[in-house]
Amino acid sequence: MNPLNDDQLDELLRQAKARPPEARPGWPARVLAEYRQQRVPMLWRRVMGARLRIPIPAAALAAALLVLLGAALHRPRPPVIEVREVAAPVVRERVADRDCAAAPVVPPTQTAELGFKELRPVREIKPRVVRSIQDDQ
Amino acid sequence: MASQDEAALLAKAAKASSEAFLALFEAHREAIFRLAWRLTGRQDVAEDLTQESFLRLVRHPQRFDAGRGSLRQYLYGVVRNLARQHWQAQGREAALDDNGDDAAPLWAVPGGDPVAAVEVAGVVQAALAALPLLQREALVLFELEELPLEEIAAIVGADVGTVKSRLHRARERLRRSLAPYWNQTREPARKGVSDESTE
Repeated sequence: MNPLNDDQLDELLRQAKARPPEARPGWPARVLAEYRQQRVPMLWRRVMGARLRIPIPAAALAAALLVLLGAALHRPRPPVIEVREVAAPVVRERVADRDCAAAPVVPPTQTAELGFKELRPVREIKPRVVRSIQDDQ
Repeated sequence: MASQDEAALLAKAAKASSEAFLALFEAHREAIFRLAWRLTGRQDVAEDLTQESFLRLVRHPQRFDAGRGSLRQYLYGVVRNLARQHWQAQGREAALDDNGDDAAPLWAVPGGDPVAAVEVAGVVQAALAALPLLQREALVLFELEELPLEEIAAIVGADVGTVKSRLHRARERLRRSLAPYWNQTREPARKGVSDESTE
């Protein structure tokens, strides 16, 4: 069978083009509904899966700051000294005057009776020099 | 619709504006559905592929570069890739090849009986369905969607020479595959006319 020539083929294609296929009724509404259904999770996924582009120097600086911040937070803190004002009880002195009887006068006893017999020679002499500050100057 | 307007609409649609999405969808849905239908040959599949094309567009709006082509052209590319994936999922990878077996019976397609098919559009669609996908998409985009060769080359990711070659081979196959239909529907009419004139 002889193949079609160009004109014959073009005519068939032109007729086919004149009758384009059509979608089923209600299809656009279904597409819009699908779009709306995906819209909310789409925003949620976008937030959860967001990516942030940071230059390497800025990222390194941020990392160093985080490390320093962490070290500062975990460093043991010095004890906190709190100053409290405490009301001290007021002590009042009392001077009490009372008349007392004088002590009896003891008469001189045996001190005057010491002689050279009680003085004995010492075994070791420890001299001690006592100077005044004025001597050093 | 101007490309700036479309870019603005796309940005809004990506941010969950139903009105913007609907405007984009209404502007392009017929053309995209038509291509999907002619590439797959099935109405339900074409609807699914068209829907997925638009949803992908708003999911990844940054993939559309207005400097590289129009939004329609970008959507053509998306639906073409989806049709190709569908084609491969059906286990028909071999038919993707340009160098398909030309001697294979072109009417060995489900529902592609030329005698039973009365309507021209159905017959042509059946003949298109028998083409390898790369030839089919080139012919559909050029002959039925009337896109320029450069734009087709950008959509299918090939150079213009390759597109021309695919077009030539597709037309050669269609010449032979549609000849029986032409002879059965047109020749008897001509014969009748000539018989009447002789009487």
